[in-house]
Amino acid sequence: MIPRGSAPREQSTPENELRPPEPIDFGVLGVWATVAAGTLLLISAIFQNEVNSQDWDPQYMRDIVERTLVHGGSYYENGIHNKGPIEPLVYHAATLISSYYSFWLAMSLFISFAAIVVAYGVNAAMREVYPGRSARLVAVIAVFVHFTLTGADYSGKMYSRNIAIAMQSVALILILGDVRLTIPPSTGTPKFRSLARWIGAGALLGSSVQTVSTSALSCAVLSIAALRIILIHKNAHKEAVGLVCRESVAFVGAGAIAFLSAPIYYLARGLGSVFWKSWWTYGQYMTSATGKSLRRQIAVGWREQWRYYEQRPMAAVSLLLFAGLTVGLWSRMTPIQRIVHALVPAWFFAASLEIVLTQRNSTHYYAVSAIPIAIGISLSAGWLLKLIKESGGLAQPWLLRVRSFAPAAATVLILMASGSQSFFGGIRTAAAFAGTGNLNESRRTNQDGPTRSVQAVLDLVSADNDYLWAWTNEPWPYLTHHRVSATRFIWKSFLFGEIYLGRTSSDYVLPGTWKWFLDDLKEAKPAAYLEMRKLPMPEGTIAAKALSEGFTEAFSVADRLCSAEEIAAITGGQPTATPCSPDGRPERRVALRNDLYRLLTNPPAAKTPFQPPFLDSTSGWKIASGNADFTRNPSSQPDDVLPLFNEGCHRLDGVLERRGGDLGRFVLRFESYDAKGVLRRTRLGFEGPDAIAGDDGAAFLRLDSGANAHPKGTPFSIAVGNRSAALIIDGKIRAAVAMPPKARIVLQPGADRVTLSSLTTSPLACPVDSFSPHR
Amino acid sequence: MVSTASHTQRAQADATGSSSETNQLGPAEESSLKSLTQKIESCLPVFGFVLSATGVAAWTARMAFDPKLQRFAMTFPDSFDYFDVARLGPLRIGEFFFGRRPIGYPLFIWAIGGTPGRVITVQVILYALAWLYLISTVIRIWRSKIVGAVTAVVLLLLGLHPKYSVWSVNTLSEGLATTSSVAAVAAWLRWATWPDRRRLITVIAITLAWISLRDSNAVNMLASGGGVFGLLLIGHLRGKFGPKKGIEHSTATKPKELASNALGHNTNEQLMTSDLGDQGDVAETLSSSRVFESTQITMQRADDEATEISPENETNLLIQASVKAPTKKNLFRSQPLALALAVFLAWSSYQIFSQTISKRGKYATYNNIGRDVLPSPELSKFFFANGMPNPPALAARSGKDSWGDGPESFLENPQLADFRKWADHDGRSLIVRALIFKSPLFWRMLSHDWKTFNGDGSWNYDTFGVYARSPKSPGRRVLIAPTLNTLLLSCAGGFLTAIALMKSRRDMRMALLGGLLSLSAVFDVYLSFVGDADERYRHIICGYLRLDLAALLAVSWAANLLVCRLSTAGSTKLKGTATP
Repeated sequence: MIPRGSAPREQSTPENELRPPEPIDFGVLGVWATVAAGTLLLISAIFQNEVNSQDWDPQYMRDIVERTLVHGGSYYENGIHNKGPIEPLVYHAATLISSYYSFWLAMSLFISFAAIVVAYGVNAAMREVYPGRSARLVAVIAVFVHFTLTGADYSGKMYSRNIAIAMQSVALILILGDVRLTIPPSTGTPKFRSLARWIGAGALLGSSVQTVSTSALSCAVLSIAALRIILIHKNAHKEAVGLVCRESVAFVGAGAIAFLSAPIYYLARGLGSVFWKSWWTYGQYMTSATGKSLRRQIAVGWREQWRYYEQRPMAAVSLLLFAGLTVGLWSRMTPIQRIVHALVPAWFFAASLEIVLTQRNSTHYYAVSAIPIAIGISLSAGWLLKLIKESGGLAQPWLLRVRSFAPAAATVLILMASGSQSFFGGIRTAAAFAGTGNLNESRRTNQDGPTRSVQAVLDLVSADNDYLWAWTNEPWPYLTHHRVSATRFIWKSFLFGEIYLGRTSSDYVLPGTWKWFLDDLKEAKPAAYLEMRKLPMPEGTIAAKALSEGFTEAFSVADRLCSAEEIAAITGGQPTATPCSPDGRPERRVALRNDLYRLLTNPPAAKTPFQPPFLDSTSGWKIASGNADFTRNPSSQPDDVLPLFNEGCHRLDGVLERRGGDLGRFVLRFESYDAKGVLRRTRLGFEGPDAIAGDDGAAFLRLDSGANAHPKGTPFSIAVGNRSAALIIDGKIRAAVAMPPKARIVLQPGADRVTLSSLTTSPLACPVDSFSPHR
Repeated sequence: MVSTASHTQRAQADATGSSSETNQLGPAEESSLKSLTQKIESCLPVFGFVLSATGVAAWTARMAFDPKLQRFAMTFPDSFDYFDVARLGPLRIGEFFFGRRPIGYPLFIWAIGGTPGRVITVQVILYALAWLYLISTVIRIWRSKIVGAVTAVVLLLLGLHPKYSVWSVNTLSEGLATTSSVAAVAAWLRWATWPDRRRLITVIAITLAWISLRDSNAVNMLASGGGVFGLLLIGHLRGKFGPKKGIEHSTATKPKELASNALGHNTNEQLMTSDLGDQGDVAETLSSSRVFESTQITMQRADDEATEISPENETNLLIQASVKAPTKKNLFRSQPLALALAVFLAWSSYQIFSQTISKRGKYATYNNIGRDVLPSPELSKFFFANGMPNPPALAARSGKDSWGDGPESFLENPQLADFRKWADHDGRSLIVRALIFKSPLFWRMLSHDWKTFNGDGSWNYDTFGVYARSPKSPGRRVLIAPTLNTLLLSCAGGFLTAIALMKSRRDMRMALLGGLLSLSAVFDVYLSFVGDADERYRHIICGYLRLDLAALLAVSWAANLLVCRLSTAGSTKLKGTATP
């Protein structure tokens, strides 16, 4: 499909350069439009799925991979994972071509690639009944759009089942002999290529079963089809009986080896038990914890599937049309066509049964049945086109001229039918994309106050990729805060036998769980513990003991402020910014490792009276023997600040004196100019009863400062790390904020008269960036 | 792909340590290298094809779909005006076709029939396609592959430059005007190379679109196109372009003579010095473009369609060409060209007429008097001497535009009522006279302000971050650095070199077209500059781009001819030494 006008020139002589181009070739323009449309689809899919791909399970998988990268060892030593190692391997591969912040773009690229592979699987099946390129390209585009840009729950994600169906699709391409895509014709001898084809198909199906064990049903159907094709080959070439036997053995053997490769590998590494507990034992828990008999499972599954297809009548109608065509045309089909036609219902049935046996019936599992449906639809379309052609249709000259536009036109129709919102969303994201750094910055800018404050606290005591002990059943606390799990139990549900959509029982706790937990904790020495209000630490557990012995609560935050009535109820009417929550528990709680807590809250013995780096002579600040007194005078600058430090890793301790009824107030400003010369500034405010973290534009979080408890003056500490700073009063972090890089730290008075006494400074140990093997 | 045999040879050479042998290519290696080169060459069109499609798609996605842009596409007062006119629709003939805006852009908006976001999307696609059209034209037409490739890369960088691309992301006529400028250059180049009916229709369509988009384009066409039209008409009347000399009028019937004429050999003696001994050699000499072109032209005349000539049937074609008796033909096929020019002139006249009766020009007149005439003693003297009223309030308008200072402005100040009456009638013709008689002064002003135009002034119109979203191409600054004199010298130098090196009628057409393009671009720049003293950067951008293109293409075409001449000379010399 090369433009005729720009076809390869036979000679590079000057006269050929002057050859007038051909008149406009609609075929060429159609191909051009198709390539352009394909590019737009790909761009849209990559950028749209950067967000879509960050689903629950994918984030969990990334948690495992990130921990593996930091901690070392196998995937099964870094997380509980009841599927094969190919899934984490895919995520691992994404880390190799991306940075921390562009990871999901890389995954999005993989998702598009997987969708293309699946689409080509459908194309290979359609080729058996209809060889027309344009029509098959339309099928490819439709399947690609379905798996990347539609509202289907499995669209734009990289779940284990999406990986499995991609492998099954490549296996289908090999089984149907469309090997040009996978094995170049110039590779080796025909015998070698034939063996490679069947070994590849077998290995892919074996890997699919290894990845998702329930896909064994679909793979069995594909395997039967494969063996039947080998037999047809045998009948066609009776002289090649030996080769056919070898092909069968190669196919089955490769499948078995691929399936067993992971257990054998981990067994050889001495990790057989670790692998088996995660992959098989936990998988068994997932199956048995629903407590449903097989009959019940099938009954529920039938009901759920009925509901599913009730909402998607087109899929059901397409299958009925396919069934009708199959029955009607069976007699004129070639043996291979019959196999393909028989494969569709068998595969669909196997995939449906697979969904039933998983017992969750989640809509994103239906990716496995989407492929046979897509193949069925494409085969039906192929037959219809073929029949129309045979009856003399589609032969009008104008149709032949414009048929190359069919894929481009179909793209528009497919997008219109399946909803163009995602498509344009992706294109708009691509248009506004200004680099992953920018993307990350804009996401950080849009974070809520509690998340920012927790991040600032964590940055004060630990670096990126350090261990964090999070008490959560969610995968994102680690990724949001750029930390890795301290233990392999990324979710606390594993510790208590809480099975997803199943029962909770100690029977579902893997043997040796608590030993693993304590060993991991001991090895990781996490700097901080993070707890969400929704999941409090249960009393009397090993985990609670480890927490109480090794950690001290340093920061708690609510996601909303108290109403006037709640304030009255909590404080007896005193004005405060006490965080509120319905059950009286903080929204998030951060405890620091005891040594770090002490380092942060207790002033060191070796400290020096505070002396500012410089002070303007017209300043209203007067410094004498560690006391700083500010009185606003007419000659002082409007922005009369007290310079504290020109760099991080310092602490300042002192007392904010009361002035009558005023608790006193000041603002710590952290400011620097970025590479573009834009002033970046964040603030920590001590405003009497409130402690505020924010920037020039907004207050991110307002919390109780604890000043009300001090009738004379409020002793405070300011800890300035290398990335964040915190205001500490009474052993609690009252506010914390991220600092711009290389910030200058100044103290701005919050009233006309401010007195700070007993000011001392001392160095503060800053966290050192831990070794990050990949980023 | 290197064969196994060559691998073995290389391995043997390495084993023996014979460095001299490794420097010489064996026959197997030579053939494998040749096949590799052929493979790469055969892949290039496919690569270019795919790259062009993906490039246009990616460019459109990147430029046209900024979320902010799609929501707030209209940010300039003129944008609202264009949409207001477009909303009238072409059925309201009087208001629409004789309204306050040149008809091209409102008609485009009406035809797209959509939101500003959709209009911008189409503009962005057209902009990309126009550059693609020009780049592919250069790659096709330039004989020297290297010069063609370098020119294509520079053109690509120019197209990607936000200085130009920013306009297609605004709902202003400059976007389509730059696009049509680029497309028109490509269309004219193609027509000059293969002057047939289809390409002439393309040229007419694109040029009409270009004229319709801006007032200054219509004036430009009247000025530059009118001259050509006059020359063609005079030439036609005098029969200057009648029966012509050279190959097309040759009565040669033998291939040898035909080839001789085509090569520029006038005598048999000259022919004998080359190795044109028999018919077989004639086929070989077809490597000369003259023969090919002459054959091609003859074929074109036969059916008025471009016909491809394959190397296999070269000799047959030559014989056919020699058998066909050449008919009357001139350099430009003046009749259709004259017809096209007549259409252009008529359309330009309508364009100017419609703008004149809409009285939109009064703003430009006030702007010019306030910004240019009053601050300049020389121009003030000229204008006052030629009847411009001088009310006391006029002096305060020095340096101001039509709208500046509200009630005190040109448009509203009651003390300037007489002045306005004058400006709306006699004032306009006086300005036109000033543009002619005071052109040296205006030219000096233009040269002085060129630094401003040379810079990244489009940034001021970059409402939707096109600069930030454009690829950071190498030499981004260099591309827009040339001074006015550099551009003019490049045009002139390229034109003169092309004249000196031209060998065929096609070369002559290209040279004349280049000259006309340069002339038209200079007119464009000058008229845009003096036409309205307000927002000069915006008004001049199309002329600036055309001058940029004219300079680049003139130099590139001259280099192309030079390289071809040198390579032809080299091969002839080589052939001569090889002949015993």
